[in-house]
Amino acid sequence: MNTQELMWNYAEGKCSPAEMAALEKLLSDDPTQQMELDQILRLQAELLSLQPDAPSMRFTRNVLDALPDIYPSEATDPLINPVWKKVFWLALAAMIAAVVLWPRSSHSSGSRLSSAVDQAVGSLHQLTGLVPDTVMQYFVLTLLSAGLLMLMDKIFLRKRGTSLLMI
Amino acid sequence: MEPDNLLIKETIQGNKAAFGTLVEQYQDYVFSVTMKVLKNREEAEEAAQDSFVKAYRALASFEQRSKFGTWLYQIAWRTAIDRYRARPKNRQSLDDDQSFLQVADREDTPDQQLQQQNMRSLIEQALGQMKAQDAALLTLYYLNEQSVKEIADITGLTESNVKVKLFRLRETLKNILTKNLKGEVKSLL
Repeated sequence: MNTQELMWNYAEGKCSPAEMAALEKLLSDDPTQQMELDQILRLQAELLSLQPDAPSMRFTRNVLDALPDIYPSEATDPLINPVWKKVFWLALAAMIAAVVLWPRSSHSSGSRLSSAVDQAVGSLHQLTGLVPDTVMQYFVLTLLSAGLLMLMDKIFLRKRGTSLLMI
Repeated sequence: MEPDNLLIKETIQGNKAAFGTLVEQYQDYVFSVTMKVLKNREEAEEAAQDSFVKAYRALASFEQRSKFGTWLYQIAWRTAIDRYRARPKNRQSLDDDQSFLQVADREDTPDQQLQQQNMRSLIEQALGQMKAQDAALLTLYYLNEQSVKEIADITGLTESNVKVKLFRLRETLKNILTKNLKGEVKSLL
């Protein structure tokens, strides 16, 4: 290993103890070598502090625009089948229609608004009386859960730009 | 799993934004390599963009045996070298050993020299005067912090060859600096 190589190794902190001893001896034998070592140490420090060149501000956008569509998203199939989504809305519409259109069994006096409310409650009672209580409870729970999930999905879609349920 | 590998996984799953994060993370270093080889900003930016698109296409085949950065710099290196070689013959040749000294002989006015009395800009200037491949090699080592083995992987040279080249290039750089300032560098150093 020549002197220059030894000095560059020292500048990089890669000298073995034997090489360190050799360098120390060299410097004590020939003090002019110290200037050479100082130059190398300074150059090494400057090289280590070099900053990278920066491309234009639009670089990332340009790269993304140039990317081909070769990796399709894996989650393309919706978790909830669109058919079930239609079933949900149909069921909800049917329930509302049934409540509103069910034959009225009682007549109440009072204002038109309270009369309409009474009629709706009465219709609902009659309607729910046709199905067993347990079935009705499950039906209402399912309907509420589905409604809640869809509402959360809408919020998620608006905030994150992607659908939680893919519906 | 390393952050890069997570971003790669997400990219392959169809999330282009994840690749955008990788681009932002590495664009300066990739651009520095292509810039050192091509020495032309516009061309270097095209080569850097090309490198990222190539990396994106080949991402599924990236086996993670090396670091993502090393793999990406390898693509950037080859892209820049290919572009350099595709230039008309009258331009600077990669194998022309004398070429790096051609610019060094120019005379700067004293004012210009005074303006450039900044070691960092002097080094950048000296790197600009070196052979394209050599300046890029030093950039990979010092700026991109690639090891000798990684540089050997990127450039296709042997490790011992990289070691020897790095030593000679640093000496060359020192000589160019000395020559450029005709001895004034000694006082700066």
